[in-house]
Amino acid sequence: MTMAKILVPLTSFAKSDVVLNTAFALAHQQSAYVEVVFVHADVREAIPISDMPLGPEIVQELVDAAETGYNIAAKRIRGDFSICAAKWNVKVVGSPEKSHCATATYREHVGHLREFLDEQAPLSDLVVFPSLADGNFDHERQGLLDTLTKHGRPALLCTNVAPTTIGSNALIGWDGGDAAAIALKAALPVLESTGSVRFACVRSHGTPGRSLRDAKEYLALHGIKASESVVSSTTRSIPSELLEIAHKNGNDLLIVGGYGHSRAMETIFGGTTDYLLSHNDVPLFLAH
Amino acid sequence: MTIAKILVPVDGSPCDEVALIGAIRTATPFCAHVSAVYAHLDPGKIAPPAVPLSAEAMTAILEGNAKVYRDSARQIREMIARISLSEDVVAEEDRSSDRVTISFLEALGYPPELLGAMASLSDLLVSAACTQPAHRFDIAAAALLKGKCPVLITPKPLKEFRKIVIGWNNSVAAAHSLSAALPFLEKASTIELVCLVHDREPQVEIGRALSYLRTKGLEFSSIHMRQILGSTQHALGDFAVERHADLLVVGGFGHSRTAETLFGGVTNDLLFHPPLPVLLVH
Repeated sequence: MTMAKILVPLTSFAKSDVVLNTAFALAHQQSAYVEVVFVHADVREAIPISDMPLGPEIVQELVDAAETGYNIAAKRIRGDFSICAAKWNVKVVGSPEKSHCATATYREHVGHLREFLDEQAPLSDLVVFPSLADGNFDHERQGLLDTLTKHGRPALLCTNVAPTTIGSNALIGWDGGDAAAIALKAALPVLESTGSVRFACVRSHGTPGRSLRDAKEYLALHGIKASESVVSSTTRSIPSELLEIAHKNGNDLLIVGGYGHSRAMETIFGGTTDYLLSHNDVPLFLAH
Repeated sequence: MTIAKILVPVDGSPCDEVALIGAIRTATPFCAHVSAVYAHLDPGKIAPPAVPLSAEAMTAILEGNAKVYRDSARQIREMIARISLSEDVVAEEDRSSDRVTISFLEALGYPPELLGAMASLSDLLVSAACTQPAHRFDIAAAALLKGKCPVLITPKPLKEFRKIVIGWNNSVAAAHSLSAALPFLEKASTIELVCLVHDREPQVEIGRALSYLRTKGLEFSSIHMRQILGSTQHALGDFAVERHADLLVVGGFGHSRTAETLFGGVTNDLLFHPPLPVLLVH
């Protein structure tokens, strides 16, 4: 069964072309509906809270500047939206409808990303986020965490480069743990479309979990062939080893369980997930 | 999700037949595989007795336990063979794309933990409503919370899910239940939505549910907003029966498990006393 709805919240036009290309590439494969939303704050939030009273002209100037900024961003995003839709054969529609091809809508939402995701993420099959590398993307990072943990939905983290394919050569980081199994299940729509996946098996640190054989049998029932390689990390950390394998194999999607270890463990030991979030050079599919 | 693998916990009780036939009939439209699992404690590992026993007594107890499990496993295998004939399913090895297949596995360990882990690599867990309530609760909770696997509780052998009612309260669990139910909704002839609200509560938002279904070309044939007095516990099940539904879909443990345990939640009620087949999704 393919994905029904992919949510793409954008808070700026930076990286919007990469995000839209990635989301539409996946939507094309899934014949899914994509909801692209430019989420931005109310222009009145540009007025600083201060003990010093500001003159009305200054306040107006600040509000006008914010509005101009949002209008420019919206125009750029709408432009990227149209270009990417045409490139990936995505039909632009006014509202969700069944179609044999991918469909998409664009709208704007005045508000904050986290509240927006509280409303929209639970009924989305995937939420797409821009790369978190090179800059301060706290809102997006928190939004991604909320999507995984609070809303229980998978997230797709883009790179800084628009992909030519996605999911056709997927790699899954596998340690037999709960999160890895959840990620495998969540990624089924993608893997069913392409019919194959490679497991990168890492030794689990906790109790032995599910065997690779069980995972491969489950995939076989879904018509998915699986191969495997073993990750033996002697010189580098597991997450960087995973990225290196993905790079060497030309994988176009890396699937991992997000925050499989406890958050406390991840915080203290600089966990796997956090490293991947900041360093992924291949689209990253996460589920928790 | 696609339904390709259905997990059925069995324990040698008469309810196994209800669960297995229910699973097979659920599997049929999807040509899915049914995995019957007899999970039980290791007979060789029992807690030390409070009173010291002689070696002979311990051996007798261990052998007695092992015999009980062996006999149950044999009965289960015989039942599976009988049901396979009557329901026209084939063994796993004969898998092709157009028949339901069935397999049997015996697993040693603490059942909820084992089944929760297996549920994470399954698409659905089917349990009969007549199984021992405490076990059913623990296994269903493990499957839902740990395995992120929907649970179908069936009170009697199923018929086709032509009419499906969805209990909706705009929660995260309700949202998950809608997407998890898609394979069933696509094959149903009628889908209805019901929102139960207490007095003075605001109306429940349903727009997103409508939009989501429309992405798959599905529509609700009717939407019901019902005000209820008192507890929600029985109201959902009663409503679904009133509407002659074949399946009720609800978010399970939408409230915290503690809240559900203390206040006798909706999930508990539907787990223990389902008046019709119920699909629970967390």
